[in-house]
Amino acid sequence: MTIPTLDQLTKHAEALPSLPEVVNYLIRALRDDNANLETLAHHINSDPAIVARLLAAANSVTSGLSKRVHSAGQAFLLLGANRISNIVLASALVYRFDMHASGFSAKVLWQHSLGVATCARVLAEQTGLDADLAFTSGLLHDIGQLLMFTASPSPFLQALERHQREDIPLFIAERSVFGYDHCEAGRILAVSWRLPTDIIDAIAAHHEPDGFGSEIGNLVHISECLSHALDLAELPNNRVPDLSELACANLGVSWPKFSAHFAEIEARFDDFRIALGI
Amino acid sequence: MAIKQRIMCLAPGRATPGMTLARPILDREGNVLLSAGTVLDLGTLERLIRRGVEAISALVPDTRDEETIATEISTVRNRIDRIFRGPSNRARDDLRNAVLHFRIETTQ
Repeated sequence: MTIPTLDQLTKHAEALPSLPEVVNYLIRALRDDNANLETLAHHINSDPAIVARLLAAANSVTSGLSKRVHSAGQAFLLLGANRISNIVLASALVYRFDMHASGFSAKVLWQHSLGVATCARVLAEQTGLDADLAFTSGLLHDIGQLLMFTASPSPFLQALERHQREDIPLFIAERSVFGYDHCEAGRILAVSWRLPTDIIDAIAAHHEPDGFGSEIGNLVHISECLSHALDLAELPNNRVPDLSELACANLGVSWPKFSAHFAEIEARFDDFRIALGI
Repeated sequence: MAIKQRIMCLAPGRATPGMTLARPILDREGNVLLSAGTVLDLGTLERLIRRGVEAISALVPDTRDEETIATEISTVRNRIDRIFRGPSNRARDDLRNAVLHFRIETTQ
């Protein structure tokens, strides 16, 4: 059983499927004031598989209405660029990285990541942070698990089994098997994919944010805990992780006040999950 | 006898024409787009989707009896005890209390 070192993990990161072109574009567009609808529509329309998934999702989101969505243009008019971007980003990631084996399912990972992304978006809207950056960071926060599983399936399954059997956090079980965890592995993959620094920090910080001083890191950490608290992925062995008091204080989160948005988070998550078919 | 109703939060695209709004719908600036009590029709639901409204609170019939509600509340409490097991701190306890309050309120 070979455990790759962190240096070797970088090589594995280069061997993983690359990010779909449209995902790369959407992530660059987060910080680009010149990004425009026409370019986004061009990226979407150049990939028939993405158009097909977008139409399926758009028709699911509007299932209560009488009219059907037949083109990407109609979907843009009805749902707006922000929701289209979120749908395209999530569906492209879910389908590109659809890995599974006995004991590991990327579908479960993406369901959880979608839950964290939804919490992160609503939390960002309420705290004045960048909601698109928050959503994207939430969606990508666990990509380190994909890298560790791909690079070394058997030890990763061993860590998962230990996490379940001993009821300890997965990142602790990973450290006992690998000597590092999916936060560190995710940081390596995010650097290899040349993701923006904010997203790299959020991935690295999402379980233990206090040493990072990253706003988005704090936000994704809190969203991780909230998605578990609201049972969004409904895992049988679900347990709410340790929640940093400092991260909550820095972001000014008051739970009695923010609980007014819990029902909205659940509705938005359900809508999105059904639309993506995960 | 009037049919009992409960509040359900759902995406406008998954609402059904004829449902009544339980709470007003506000835009991002806090202005009222639709007031509580509005009966939703297809045109209104489509306009809400176009405006980027992602969740609404509507009234739905509640056919549960008192015993069923009590069982559901007990299940909710047990589940929250289960998912919040293990060591905690003040922030996590506050989150637990907020989720418990929310679950009981939406189950009743």
